[in-house]
Amino acid sequence: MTLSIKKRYLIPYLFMLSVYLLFLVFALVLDTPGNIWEGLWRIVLSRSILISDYIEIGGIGATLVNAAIVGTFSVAMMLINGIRPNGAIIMALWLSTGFAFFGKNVLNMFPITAGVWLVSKYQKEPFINYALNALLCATLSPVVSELSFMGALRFPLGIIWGVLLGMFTGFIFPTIAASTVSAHSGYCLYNMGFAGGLIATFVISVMKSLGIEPQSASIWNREHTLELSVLMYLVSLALIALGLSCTERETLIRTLRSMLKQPGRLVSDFFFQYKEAIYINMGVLGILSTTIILLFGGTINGPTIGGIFTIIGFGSFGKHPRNVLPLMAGAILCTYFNRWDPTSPANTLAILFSTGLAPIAGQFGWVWGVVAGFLHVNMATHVVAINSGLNLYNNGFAGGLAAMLLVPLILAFRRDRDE
Amino acid sequence: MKFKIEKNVRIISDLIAYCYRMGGGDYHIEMKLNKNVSVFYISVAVPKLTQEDLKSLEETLRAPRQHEMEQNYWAISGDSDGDLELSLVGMMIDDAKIDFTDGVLTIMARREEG
Repeated sequence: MTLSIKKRYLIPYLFMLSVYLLFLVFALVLDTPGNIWEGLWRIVLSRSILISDYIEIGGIGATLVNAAIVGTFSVAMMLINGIRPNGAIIMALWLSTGFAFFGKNVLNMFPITAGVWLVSKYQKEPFINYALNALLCATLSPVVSELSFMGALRFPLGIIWGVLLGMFTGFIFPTIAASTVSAHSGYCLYNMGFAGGLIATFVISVMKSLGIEPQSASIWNREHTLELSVLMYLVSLALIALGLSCTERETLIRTLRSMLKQPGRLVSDFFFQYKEAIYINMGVLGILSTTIILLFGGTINGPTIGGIFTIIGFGSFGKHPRNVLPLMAGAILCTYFNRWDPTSPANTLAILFSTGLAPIAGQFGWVWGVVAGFLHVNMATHVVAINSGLNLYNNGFAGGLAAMLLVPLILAFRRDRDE
Repeated sequence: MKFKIEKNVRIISDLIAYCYRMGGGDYHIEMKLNKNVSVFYISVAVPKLTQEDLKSLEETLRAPRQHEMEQNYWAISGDSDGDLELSLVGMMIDDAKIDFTDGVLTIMARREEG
């Protein structure tokens, strides 16, 4: 089956909107409108610092509605600006939706996005050039919420400073993100998280100098694993069904085999290379990551959905089962060696987000993938303290540092090349 | 457009590295730089280039221009430490013409600023 160009470009957006509709249905089945409304207020007024599970803060219904609103705004921003989807845009939409379960909300996303818009005007470049930044800058959303609602500044000073600081971080974010990518040579897929980590470290150092000391949180829901697992499997199966319905059967196996051979290093636009077959990859990754967390005894909640949606999203931009599984194996192994419970929040998230180093397994083989996963968990559980949870994509910061450390060593000492 | 010189140098670097890895020798490189348009010509003897390699090269370099990818990832172009991927070059140029005659690969790539 061959799709017209227009249909091909609309499908990723329409599918996302269908997912948001499913969120709304689930929200209304699992919660009452009154609870949802009150929960949304609690979410918007929360500090949203890492780890703030919105399901625990606002309830399951309000969290799903928040994700649907945040996601719909993101899709609308792409459609209004006439941005054609590619692997990176599809990834960013999924990631952005996932983080609306734990840290990004309808209030704290706007100042940072406005900062990105302002830099495009300042540089006299079209906003389309900054589309990815606009979607992914939410890594610094806690900066806005923390300053607004932590209580260090009186109302409305806290909100004013929170919004201004959010706009400032959004303004500098694209420049920093463009430069950090060369630090890990594209072996860390979460480059925006790496950039966000650096900015958050700068912001926290200034805040602490002024006597403002944010504390990271550990708000973690354990009550809705069954319902949310059903939701994750439904979304994943829908992706596989979409991929199967749009891909030519004769070439499907060959296409998927070819995808599995890709290292996945930045910039691997699977949507351009493999077209609708990516949906099968994304769905398989969704089922795989959800199942691993469940088998491992973990919880499906806001933060883990963020991790699973991130993995699904990167199924269009570098990840596939072959380069993801070694990382998760190494990460799981590490959780049995470190001093925390293997199913603790930090360990569970590190297992999911360790897959940001998938290009290491894809390029250098599964053994290095296991090593990278192991190393990542150690980094992720410690670097959060550096920026006190202000960087939502903390695992991107950890992954970037791990890649900077590991990749030069692998390149220098591997024996399969003379040049 | 910012970093015009840096981006152009990285594009030509990636093209040279690709030909080098394909076993190329005897390089002829030409660049024409105007205010708004940069054109790169590279002509290299690559006797071992297969039809499959050629097809893959054409598909990669004829990818649509993607400004948002360029904005975020241009800094890793020109960094051919491993198995080279030209996908980023394809996203940073507007047009590519490729010819392979008598073992000589000729690539013309055109990039508009802004």
